[in-house]
Amino acid sequence: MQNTENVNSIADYDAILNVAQVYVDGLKIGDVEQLKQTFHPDGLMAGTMPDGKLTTKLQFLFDFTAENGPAPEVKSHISILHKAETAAVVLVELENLQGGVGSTDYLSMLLVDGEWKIISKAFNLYWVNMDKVC
Amino acid sequence: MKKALLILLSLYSTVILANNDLKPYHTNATETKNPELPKIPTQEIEDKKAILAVIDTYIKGLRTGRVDLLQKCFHKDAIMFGYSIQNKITEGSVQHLYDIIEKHGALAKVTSKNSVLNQTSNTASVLAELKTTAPHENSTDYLSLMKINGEWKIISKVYHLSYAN
Repeated sequence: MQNTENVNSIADYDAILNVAQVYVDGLKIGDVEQLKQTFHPDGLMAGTMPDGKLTTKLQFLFDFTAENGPAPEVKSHISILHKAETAAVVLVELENLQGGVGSTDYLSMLLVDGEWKIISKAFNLYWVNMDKVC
Repeated sequence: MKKALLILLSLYSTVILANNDLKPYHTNATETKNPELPKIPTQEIEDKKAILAVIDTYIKGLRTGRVDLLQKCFHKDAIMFGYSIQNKITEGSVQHLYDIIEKHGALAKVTSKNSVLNQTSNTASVLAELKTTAPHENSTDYLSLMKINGEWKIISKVYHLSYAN
């Protein structure tokens, strides 16, 4: 069997992990501009809030962050679930967001003009005490 | 003196051998009991079946060219992003997918291997590895799903097309 080029370069893996880290740091310091950098402008965020409200709008993330500020105690674990040449999906586990809330985030990414951008974020939240959440 | 050293050596080797006798290779094998396997909650299994059923319907929709089947799988606000084989980007609404299928018809030879990469009680990440989306063309689809009112819907599709040998 002929050896061909490995389309999954380490530089790409590193770039993908870096985007996820910049996203997590953006949440940590509550920096909306930094979060915006990691997303494609026409991207999407989808999930259900503790009050049962469904969101499918990326703007909701920026509004929420602007309103609720930083999450200094947040802990995170980032894994690349799968990667192709120009697309990838990343799992970000988050603990201790605002109010002690946890989240499982699926970030779908696409390589756009040489830069990896988050196209969609699907989240699932975990919380113990509803009253403490936003 | 030499004799004493030899005796010492032989004593030493006996001790080593005796120690080895005490440590057979598989000591632990008989002592370790199989831990009881944790049971996967029924809901999680039911969800996984439902998730994969949605993906099957999605593939069937592509294979038969039935936009109505595709529309059943995707949330109305769903997005689709990726590059064509000519490196042209498709971005925005999943409406693009419906338009493509309507214009070009069924992807009659498409087959797919689907895997749930990760799932929670309300979300899932699925890898669909599609073969023959066109002659000599494969697609790697990353599908994010959400459970809304008890139904699983695809909310985002990000894909990569590649040449098939």
